[in-house]
Amino acid sequence: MTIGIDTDPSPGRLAPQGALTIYEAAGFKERLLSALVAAPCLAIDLAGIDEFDTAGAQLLVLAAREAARAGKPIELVACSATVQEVLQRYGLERAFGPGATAQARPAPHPLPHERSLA
Amino acid sequence: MNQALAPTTFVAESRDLLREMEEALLALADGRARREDGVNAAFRAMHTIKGSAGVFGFDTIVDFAHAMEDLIAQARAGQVAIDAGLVALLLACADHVGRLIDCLEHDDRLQRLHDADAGGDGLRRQLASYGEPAPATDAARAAPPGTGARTDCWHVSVRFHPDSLRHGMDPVSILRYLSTLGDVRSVVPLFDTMPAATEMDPETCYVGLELQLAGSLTEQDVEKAFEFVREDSSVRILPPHAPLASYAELVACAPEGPQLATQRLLECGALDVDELAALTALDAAAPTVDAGSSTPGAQATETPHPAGDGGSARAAAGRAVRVHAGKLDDLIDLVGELVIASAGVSLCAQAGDTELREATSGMSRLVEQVRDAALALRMVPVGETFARFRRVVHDLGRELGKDVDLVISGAETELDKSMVEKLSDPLMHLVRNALDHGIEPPAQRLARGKPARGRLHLDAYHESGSIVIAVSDDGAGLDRDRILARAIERGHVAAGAAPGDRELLQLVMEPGFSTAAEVTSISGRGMGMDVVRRNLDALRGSVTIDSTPGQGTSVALRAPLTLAIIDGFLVGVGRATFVVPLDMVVECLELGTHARDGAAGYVNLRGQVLPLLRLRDLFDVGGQPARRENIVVVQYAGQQAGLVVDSLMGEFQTVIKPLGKLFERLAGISGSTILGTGEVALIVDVPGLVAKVQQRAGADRAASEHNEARESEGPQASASPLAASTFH
Repeated sequence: MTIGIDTDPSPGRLAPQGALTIYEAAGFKERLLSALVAAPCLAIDLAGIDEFDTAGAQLLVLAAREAARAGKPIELVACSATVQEVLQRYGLERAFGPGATAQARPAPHPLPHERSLA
Repeated sequence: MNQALAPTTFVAESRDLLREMEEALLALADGRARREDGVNAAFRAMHTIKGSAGVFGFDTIVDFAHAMEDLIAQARAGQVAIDAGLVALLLACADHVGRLIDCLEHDDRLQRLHDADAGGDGLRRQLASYGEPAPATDAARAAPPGTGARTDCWHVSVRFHPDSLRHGMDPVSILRYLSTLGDVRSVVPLFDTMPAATEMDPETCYVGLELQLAGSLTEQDVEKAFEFVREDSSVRILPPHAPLASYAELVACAPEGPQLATQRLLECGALDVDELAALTALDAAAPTVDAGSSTPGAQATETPHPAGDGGSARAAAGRAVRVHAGKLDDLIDLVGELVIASAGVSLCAQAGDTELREATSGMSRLVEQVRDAALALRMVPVGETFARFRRVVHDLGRELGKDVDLVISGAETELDKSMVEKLSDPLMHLVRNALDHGIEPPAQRLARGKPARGRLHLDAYHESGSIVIAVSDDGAGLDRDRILARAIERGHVAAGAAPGDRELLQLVMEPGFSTAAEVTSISGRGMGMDVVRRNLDALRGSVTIDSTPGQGTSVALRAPLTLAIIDGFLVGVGRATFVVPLDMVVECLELGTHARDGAAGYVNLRGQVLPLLRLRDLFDVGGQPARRENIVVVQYAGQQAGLVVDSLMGEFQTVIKPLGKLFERLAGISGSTILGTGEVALIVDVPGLVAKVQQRAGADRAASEHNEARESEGPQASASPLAASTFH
């Protein structure tokens, strides 16, 4: 179990490292929600995730929902291969903005969702 | 698999599971449990048995269990009504599985299984044809040909159980497995049950899936992928080109509502727009869901989930350990010897110094605790025995056409394991009697102003060192006049005599006594009640009958709590020592010298008459009585007596040693024990003595009334009504 350390602590960006599974889920949920409250928009960078499961995917869904509720844009700016595989299996690969499978971006900018998860 | 080894654990566990299943189904039938709980429990049981049987390679059992599973799954999905007919069929099937399991205990088990399998043909046919057949096996269902969906994929609709992630079942692994089976063409995930952020539990699974799977597969192939979640999650599988009616049903049962459901079917490509339109037109053709049965989605949103309770109950059961009965008996014997040896040590220590006395006192306390703990190992709650009767009442009720409600109380009352077996036969007889002769047919009950549903009450409780099990019914009661007539006929009672109610009812237990006009296969031959009494006598117990004509009957079985070790009260008579069971001792008093001189064997105890029994006379103990005698007041079954002894020597715990065949039938003595000194002390049979004393009191009363009557007719010589207690 790795405690994720944000490599880029700018507001509105989360970049957890290591594992994001049911074991880390409770902790990550807190960080997600606080980040959403603190910033006008949120970028999630999962390039550093090497373990990912349904609990992790559920949190992304939650994040998208809460963001929509708050009227704040949210984007999954990068994914590791592990995350990609899980999201693809769930058919969620396009759910978090078109940049999900692209390279990491220097700064987040809002993009519309393609699929509503509310 | 090594089939030379008998699968004893599998057999034992399967029997437990079958019993659980039976209890769950009966609870469902009685309305004591929710339908979902009963059906889920049944499914779990068969699923586990099937899995374990598969490990051993007992395909006969696997196949039959699978057939049962399918029917139960249909019931869970609402495709088949959960009613009395289904319960009866599943019970019969469970019996068949029980028979198959029995085959496993023999060396030639495979042959036996094969032979026994034939007996299940009828049941298999019923299982297959019950309700509607599974969509996969019968393509030509209600919908006319040509209305099958165009999709050539298997469609799977899953709603995972909230605890799936906690149980280690990640839906992603199922999706990965599916992609090895075939081509997962599309997946639509849904998270309808996910609440708002504050309530969302990161470890709870909120996932549902609608997916399309292509490949040349059988339904079993697809089912296998969901094997581990099938129990708790809801899984529906539709074959390629399934009739639109089955999609309509899917939509109707969807927890998210038909609008979202159809949207998702469209999204994953299961149906196209035209088919969707046709779907709404088919609304009327969709089978109605039984209001009482569960809908798959409902399981996902209910908290706490029924399976969750079963799971925790199983976890609790898992903490039990199977112990060979012989080992327990050996342990009890050893503990008994320990108790005696410890008493001997304590006795010697009395002469020693304080330290020694303290040490032995501490040791005695520990020995007492060990004794209690060892005995507790053998105690089982009577509820397990009671639960078996639900099935009996259910089946017999159906057979006799009587509607009977079985009420059980005191199920947690404990008794010694060895007693359980000995009590269940008498109990069985009483229950059958109550159902056959006690409770009237519904029509008759209504005519008498009673509710059509009869009530049979099984109760158990502890009372002064005994366990009491009462079987009561609210039926017709015992007909006093008929019993009296029959008793006179058989010579038990002289003509013209008027025995009291209690004695009359006791006569019912004479061998061959029966007032039944009709002898049925169940009862009526008069062979039963005397066997019941004999069984209870063998246990040093008793049977009491109470009845009110028109209102009901109650039979109480009394038996001592434990046969092995006794808490006793030591008394001395002359040089002999006797033990009186402490549980039955009420109090002790001094016997005043004036009372001793009186002729009558009674004493006034705070306004009540207490009949006395002199142990010295009873057991013919030599020598003179002590100057100051004492009375030990004992009680059994609500009646009291006073035992006159010389000295009171205090409490004493001891092991009961059987008397040996020669002395078994001694009246007044129920066993013997060894004291710390090595002497033998006899244990007084309090129930027997109390009964005799009451009998004598009754005779005395009758005789004195008789004398009074004669005296009032005129002065005549009358014989002294001295009724000496006779012991033979």
